[in-house]
Amino acid sequence: MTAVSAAEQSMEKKTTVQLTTDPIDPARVVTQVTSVDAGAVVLFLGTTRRQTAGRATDSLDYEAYEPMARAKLEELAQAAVSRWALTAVAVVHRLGHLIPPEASVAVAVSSPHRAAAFEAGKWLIDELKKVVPIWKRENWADGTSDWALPGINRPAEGATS
Amino acid sequence: MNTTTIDLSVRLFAEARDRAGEDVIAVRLEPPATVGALRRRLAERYPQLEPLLPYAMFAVSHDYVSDEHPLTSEAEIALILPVSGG
Repeated sequence: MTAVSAAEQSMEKKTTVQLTTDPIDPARVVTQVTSVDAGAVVLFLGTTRRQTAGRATDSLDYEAYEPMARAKLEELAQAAVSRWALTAVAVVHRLGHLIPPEASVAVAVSSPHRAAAFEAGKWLIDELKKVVPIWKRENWADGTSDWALPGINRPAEGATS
Repeated sequence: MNTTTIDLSVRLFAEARDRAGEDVIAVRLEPPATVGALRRRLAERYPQLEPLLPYAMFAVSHDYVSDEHPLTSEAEIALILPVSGG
């Protein structure tokens, strides 16, 4: 009885998703997925670039449709847990004003063996960039700024991965 | 026009919000109210959004839906331009 409750609790704790205006702490995200059941932790950090297609970026602003972004992140994390043998998944996306090279996103995945963690981590960031309703505005060094819209004013997602 | 028109509110974000100048817009549709009908109405009413609408997705209750999806006045509807998070 006690063992079953403990197992259910660890299932519930398997995925963590977060939107935050605070700087991302990679060590904290790694800690969220670290477990005695895992032999591998893979961390992907998306960091903001100074140069995009030859133009200099001073800063970026990220905006989300927050309730849907959280729901989609949770859906992706759950899908990854169903598809691969994972111990835990944590995804954090930064919102608000960022100065390069601050991290905009962290995806951490743990698994008993490394292949699953690498594959799931890549899948999660690729899917996040396609479906999670978050937008980035680039504030260029020349004083202009625009929202990045892949397939409209930027290369389609996948073209620059 | 008649009592069966459907009043919708549509949430806008980022580029769409900046172009429309509002983060929520009210739209009245005749039945059948679908996502496709909303897309056409927005194109007529908001010329500044019109060039982006062919690229837009719509979400109802936090899920992406097709143009055939029916809309009600209670639905939480959002216009989602191509996303650029990550």
